[in-house]
Amino acid sequence: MRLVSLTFLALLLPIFAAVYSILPRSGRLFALFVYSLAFYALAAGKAAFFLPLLSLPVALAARLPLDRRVLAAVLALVFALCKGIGFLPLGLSFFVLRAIGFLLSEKDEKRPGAVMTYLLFFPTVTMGPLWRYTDFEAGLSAVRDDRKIADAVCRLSLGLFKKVFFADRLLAAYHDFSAHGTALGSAATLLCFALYLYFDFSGYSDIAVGVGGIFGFSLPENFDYPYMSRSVGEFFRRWHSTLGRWLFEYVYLPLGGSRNGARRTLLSLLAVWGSTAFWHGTTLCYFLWGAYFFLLVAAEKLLLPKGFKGLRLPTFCLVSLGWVFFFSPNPASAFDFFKRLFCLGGTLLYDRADFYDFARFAPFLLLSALAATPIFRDLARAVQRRFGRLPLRVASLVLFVFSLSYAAAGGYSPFLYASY
Amino acid sequence: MKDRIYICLVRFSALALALFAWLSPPVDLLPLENRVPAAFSLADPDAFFFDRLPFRHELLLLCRNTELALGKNEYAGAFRGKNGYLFSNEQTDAQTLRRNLDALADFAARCDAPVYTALVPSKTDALLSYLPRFYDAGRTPLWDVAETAEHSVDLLPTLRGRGGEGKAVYYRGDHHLTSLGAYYVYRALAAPLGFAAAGASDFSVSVVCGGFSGSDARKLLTATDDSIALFRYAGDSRFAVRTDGKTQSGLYNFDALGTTDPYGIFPGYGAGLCEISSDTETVRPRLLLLCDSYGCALAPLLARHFDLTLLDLRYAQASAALTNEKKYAAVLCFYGMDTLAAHEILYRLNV
Repeated sequence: MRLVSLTFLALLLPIFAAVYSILPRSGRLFALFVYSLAFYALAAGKAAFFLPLLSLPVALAARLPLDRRVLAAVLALVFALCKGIGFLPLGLSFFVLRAIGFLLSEKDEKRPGAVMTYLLFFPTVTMGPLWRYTDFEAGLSAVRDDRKIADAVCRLSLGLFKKVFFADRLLAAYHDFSAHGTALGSAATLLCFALYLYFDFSGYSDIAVGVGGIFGFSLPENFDYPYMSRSVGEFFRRWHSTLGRWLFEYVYLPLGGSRNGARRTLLSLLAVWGSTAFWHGTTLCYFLWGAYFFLLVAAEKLLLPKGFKGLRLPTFCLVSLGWVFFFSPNPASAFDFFKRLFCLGGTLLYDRADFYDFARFAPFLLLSALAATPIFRDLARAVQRRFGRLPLRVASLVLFVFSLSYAAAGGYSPFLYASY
Repeated sequence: MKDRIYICLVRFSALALALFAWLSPPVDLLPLENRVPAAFSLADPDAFFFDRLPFRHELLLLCRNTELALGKNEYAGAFRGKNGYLFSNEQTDAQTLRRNLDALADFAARCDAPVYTALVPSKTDALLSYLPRFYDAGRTPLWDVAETAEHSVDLLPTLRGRGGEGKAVYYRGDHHLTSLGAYYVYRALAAPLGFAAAGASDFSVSVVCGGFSGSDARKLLTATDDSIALFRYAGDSRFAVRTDGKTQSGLYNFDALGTTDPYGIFPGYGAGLCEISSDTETVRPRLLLLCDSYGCALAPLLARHFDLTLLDLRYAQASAALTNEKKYAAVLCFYGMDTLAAHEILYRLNV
């Protein structure tokens, strides 16, 4: 069972939501706990016992004769060990961050059941977004607001469309272009991957925010049109921003941040990017990816004047080059890709196949690139100002029908970040 | 209030969707894909629902039309070429083909009969002038490997040549050879297999089915106006065709014309083992045809000269046909390039 699954969205979610909406507040927590456990059991298969088991000591932290920081360190160690041996139950990476964040920021005793439900909350358990326990508590006691729920349904529909229409088509285009051995084909591969990653992950985040909203929870935003950024630092404030905030709060600041001189800043940044790389994976490519962005962010921070505004296109290109380490299975393959991209070692600039695939994908790539900018959001806001919410509600139903038609035709690929 | 109505509408529509799928009467075959609907499984419950969606045909058409409107020219792995031709390709690789041909060579080394290989080009290999502009299937490496096969008969020049002349050697909407295409192949095989091919005038062409939409057309959810023609000759109704244990009199299964896949009129279609024998008392040489469905259109023509055993190793074990291997005058491997370069199957010859 996945969050993007017709069985979940069309069968289980309406039933869950309908039952939840008629429950008294005192029964909500129990219902969410049961939903979350059931959802996770269906999603994670044989390893479904692991996260509930791991959530027990976190939920009982206040009653254990153990310092919370020690428990957080033990969790980090368990995570490192699991990464090391390749045992990665679904959602472990996000779970560990949520649990460590909870242990380090919530000092008072909380209801164990509520903590476990927060840690295993079904919209966020597999891929985030990372959020605070206090927001979860606020959601539990929130008053039902039909407008917010209707907005959440629209958000869910938008996320589904991003995933099924954009991300999955971009993944197909990425595979087609990556078979080309030319510079132009490699550039198209990179463009497709950059857009695919954005739509795949931001689509998921929209769905999670939407599903959370249907149950009255306000989940934080994870993406804010990151490819519109004017610097790499800004990019990572707008890309998977809940992870960025978590690292800022629990790694960067405790290590001194940028207030103790350049050397300390570098050290803190190195720790942030080292953790980010390790959190994503243990292969050399992820460390090269982390090192690449560490160098760019450190150079921006230390060499450029404060308030410097760069250009969008060069920033997009720099960020996209970093994705090469993300999709390459090993460094040799990444460097081969760079050779092709920069037309080195006898690589052709283009061939017939490039033209054929460009002709097939150009309108779609253009549409995807536009959809990665705030144009459609601004358009939706203008429509809402002029005509109210109704046209957007209708549009969300149309998007749902489109998503359904694409999913019925080809199913959907797994979310990339579900593998972390 | 409006918001509440919207929420209820969405909730009930979603539930109705799921319940429709759950409660809809069972269907034997999905007409568009010609396959059995997916059964329910916890591992992939969506497959079950997707195959039973209300307005499923319309939803799939919406997807296809959007793809085509976006200029992709492709849907579900099939794409549009020139002059109404539709194409599709399997995911192929030269290593798979190499392993299949190695297995065939091992078989040939211990087989008493001579073994020939004639791989059938796909439409994208043969109908170059009908392909979309700039299209390049990149299959030269496959044909380089094919050249190394056991007693290889290269059908590519024949079919490319005839296709280039505008002859309908393939159906527009199906991946198979037409009877005309099979006839050109039959002539190309005459010299290697040592028979005198009959001239075109020795056959009477009989069109038995119009409006045939084959595999490529079904993938693209469209219809083509292909016709199935048979190259008939005197006495072709006196053959006994034994397919997976059932015997039929005459080469052709006319009952298939009323089904969703009229290509099944050809002998051995969709079967693992098919034996074609003449009812004459004269002993004729027997040819073992290792083939997929491409062999079905060729078999009626070869049956003029040989008794035939058609063996498709995707569906049958080799032992079923090879226990009396000495009875064969020759063995012909007649699989589609797409089949042998996509699926490893010929190892079964040596199991």
